[in-house]
Amino acid sequence: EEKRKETDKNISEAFEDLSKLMQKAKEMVDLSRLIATKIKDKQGEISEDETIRFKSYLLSMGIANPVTRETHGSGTHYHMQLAKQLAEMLQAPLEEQGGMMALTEVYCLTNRARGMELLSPEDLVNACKMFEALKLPMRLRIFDSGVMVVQLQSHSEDEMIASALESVTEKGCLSSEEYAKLVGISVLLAKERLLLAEKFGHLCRDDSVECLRFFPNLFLTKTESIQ
Amino acid sequence: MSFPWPWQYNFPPFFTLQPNVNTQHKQLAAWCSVVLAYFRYHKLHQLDVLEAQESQLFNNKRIQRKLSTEAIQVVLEDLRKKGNLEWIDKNKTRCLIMWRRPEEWGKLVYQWVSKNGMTNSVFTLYELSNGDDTEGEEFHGLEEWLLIRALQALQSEHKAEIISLNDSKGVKFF
Repeated sequence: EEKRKETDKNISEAFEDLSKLMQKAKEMVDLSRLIATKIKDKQGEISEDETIRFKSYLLSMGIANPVTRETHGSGTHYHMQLAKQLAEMLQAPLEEQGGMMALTEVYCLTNRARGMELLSPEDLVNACKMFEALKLPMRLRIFDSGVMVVQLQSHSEDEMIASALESVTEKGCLSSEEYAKLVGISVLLAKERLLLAEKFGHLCRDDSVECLRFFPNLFLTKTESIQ
Repeated sequence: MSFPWPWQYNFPPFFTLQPNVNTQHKQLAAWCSVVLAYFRYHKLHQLDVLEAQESQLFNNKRIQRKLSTEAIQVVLEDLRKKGNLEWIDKNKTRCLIMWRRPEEWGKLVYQWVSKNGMTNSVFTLYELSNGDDTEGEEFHGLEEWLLIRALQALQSEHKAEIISLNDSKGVKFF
């Protein structure tokens, strides 16, 4: 009985502390909003370094404040460092996978390798967005479907389309599953490649009850007309 | 001999509306010519949209592909824009398909008339489409509604005037 009362007290104390902590955090949030508007008002008067420092404060509190953060400097020191680290780490696996990996795969790969101090999906995306500004040899690419991938810069689009067209022509027609198996990439990426080739007019689709299949685009290549 | 299908008819993607604009453009152009050629070959003039999907024109049983009703609508709309189709009802369930546009028919009729030096003369519609003189002409046997449409097109160019003769119609060329 005595012991239970003790734990009860501990728990309620902990929760009380938590709500006090929240109160403090809320004050910080309010304060940061105020600063953000001030920065906006006096654009130019505050140095780049100051905004960056302000951003890292915001980050450590976990407050997303995209409008003002995006307008003053494109990211943060933390994400820049992370981007550099990612570039180093991803080079080999990317080459192995044919130059392109879905962001979800990258996420698994990095967090599994880290074990501690894991990355949030947001941090990963933000770091990947810095690749270009930092002139690292890889890029974050967002397909029309919204799928995000990391691809090596040396990995050219033309090559990708050409290889897709070649495979499809060889087999007559292919679904994304078949193409994925054939080239040894994930179904998701296979589909994106085929869609890309379609977008550029090299392939056309046959959408039937069985599945979505891609054919060489005879509409554009075959010139013989109907009598 | 059966209707000579174009290669597209046995190409499965022909039956899926292509998302790529360029490709779709070519696809629709091919569909339009197939539809017109098919109607011309079988001497058909009317199309019921609900029945269309079951006709072999839009349903290739051999490769088990058929054009969806939405895609058929797109093709028909394309034909309408080209002047080869006209809706009979407001709900767009039935339409007339003219594999040669009324103006083109009008031109043919007028060519024949002027070639034979018969401008300024009056014809009955029956004479034009079924008379002995026009035998061998392309417009011989043309259905009356289409002939009227052709003449109306000529009328708007002031090359003809449609006149009512008792209970039938006639036309005078200029």
